[in-house]
Amino acid sequence: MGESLGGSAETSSVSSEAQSRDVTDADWFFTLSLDLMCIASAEGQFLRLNPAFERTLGFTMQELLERPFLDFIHPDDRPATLDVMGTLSQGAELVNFENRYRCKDGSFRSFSWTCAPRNGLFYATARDITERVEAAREIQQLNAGLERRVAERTEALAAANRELEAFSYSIAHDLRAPLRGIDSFSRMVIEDYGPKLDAEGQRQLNVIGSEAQRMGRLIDELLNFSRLGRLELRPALVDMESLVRTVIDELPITQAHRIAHINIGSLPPALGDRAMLRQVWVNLISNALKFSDQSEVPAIEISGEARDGFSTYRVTDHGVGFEPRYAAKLFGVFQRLHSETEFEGTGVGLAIVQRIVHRHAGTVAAEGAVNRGATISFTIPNTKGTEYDGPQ
Amino acid sequence: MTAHSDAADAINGVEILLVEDNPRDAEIAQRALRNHKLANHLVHVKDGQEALDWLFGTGPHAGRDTNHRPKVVLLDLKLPKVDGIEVLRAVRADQRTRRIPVVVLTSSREEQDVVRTYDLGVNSYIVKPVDFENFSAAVSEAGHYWLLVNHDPK
Repeated sequence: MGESLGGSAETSSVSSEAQSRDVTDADWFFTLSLDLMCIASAEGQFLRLNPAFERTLGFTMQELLERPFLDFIHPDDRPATLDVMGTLSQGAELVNFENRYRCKDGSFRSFSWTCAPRNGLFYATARDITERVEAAREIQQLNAGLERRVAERTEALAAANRELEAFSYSIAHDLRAPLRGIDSFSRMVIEDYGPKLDAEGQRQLNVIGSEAQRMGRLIDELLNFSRLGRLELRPALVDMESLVRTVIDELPITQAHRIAHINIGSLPPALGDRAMLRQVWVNLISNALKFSDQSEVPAIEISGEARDGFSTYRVTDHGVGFEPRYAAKLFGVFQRLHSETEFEGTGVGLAIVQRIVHRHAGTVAAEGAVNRGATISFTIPNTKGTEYDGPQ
Repeated sequence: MTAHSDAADAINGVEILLVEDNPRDAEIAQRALRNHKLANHLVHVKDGQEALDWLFGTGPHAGRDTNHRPKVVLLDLKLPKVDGIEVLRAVRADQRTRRIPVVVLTSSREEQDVVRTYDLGVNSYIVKPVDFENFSAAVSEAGHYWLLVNHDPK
């Protein structure tokens, strides 16, 4: 048995009183503590236990003292416990060592041990952390469950997208065949019976054919537009200046293009998918040229600037412009502010621009006035910041 | 344009086998070929099975002299019974037919790319566009090339 806490008796009555007061306080700590407190031998035997042991584990003092304490420890925790006993025996202190003890009712509780060795004995305190450990395990399971559900939902979404892609694809195909029939057969009527028809009759038949062709273009553009929502974004830092120059070089040569002055300012880079951004430039520059082609010498300015992790780009033309109060409609699908006879087009170009820019976590804007040209601008991130969540 | 009887084929020699299930597309193709005087000896079949039966002299075409091979096959892809790819595979797998030029009629450039991946030796592709002019021109060009210009290795 180790040193008793009683200590040796003092002769002086004052110091004896003081000492017995110290002894009494220390004893009360030991007895009243809700944490487990004990003295144990380096050989693995409990020597003295406070009442908290009985209350917490359910065993009697007798039961706990008569067997090595390793018997009460969860088998999986015994090797580690033996390890720390070795370390303690060499004089090192122990802080926050966790293991599990078996209770009288067969269940296990978790404890966090703090221990100071002295003269071959271990003076230890343990806190019951069973609830804390349980809560941590529940959180972990919740998280695992959540992650699993997120993965399932993501896969479900991907599957739904693939289905939608296949659906719109087959619709487009199925629609094209009868369109071909309409266009072709109206032409055949003109070819075979043209001489029998007056000019008006021929004109009407021509309308049938050209409407069919227009519908074909609409289908293609719609398909393109819907594909954009599902294409995977491949983000990288894009040299916008060189991209713009490439786009201009590769534009089909139209009248306006041939004589246009296209002024390209210095453009900052952007973070995005190069192929999609290319589409944005193609649409904006083609638009600028198209709506300028009634001017004598079309002039277009392309400029950009970077600020606060974003790059803003502007395409300005001096063509027919638009009425500012319709600015919001500009980006709608199939929205047109000029009639088909004035300017050909399906009205999907700017909708595609907006869709791509939004997928890049950016914004679009338009300014203009009637016959005073227009400036279409878009802003997208140029660095990996909090604004940009990655592929959308 | 109706299919010639097998006996007539033997005498006149079929030059074009048109495999197309859509009657409108078939009519447009035949009209284009006729306009360029290329359709005198054309056989039109409406599904993949009949295409194979005709080429190999089986089924309803048993007894046809399979030595008479068409100068070109215009092959649509989406066919009932046996689809275009299967017909192509069979044509390329058989000694008697594997050198016959095949022009594949596809509905889109994407479809064209898919067919390419099968690597079955397609001689050329025509994408069926919406408008009449382009389709007619494409069909008659193909016909013109394979019938008049190309000298096939016999």
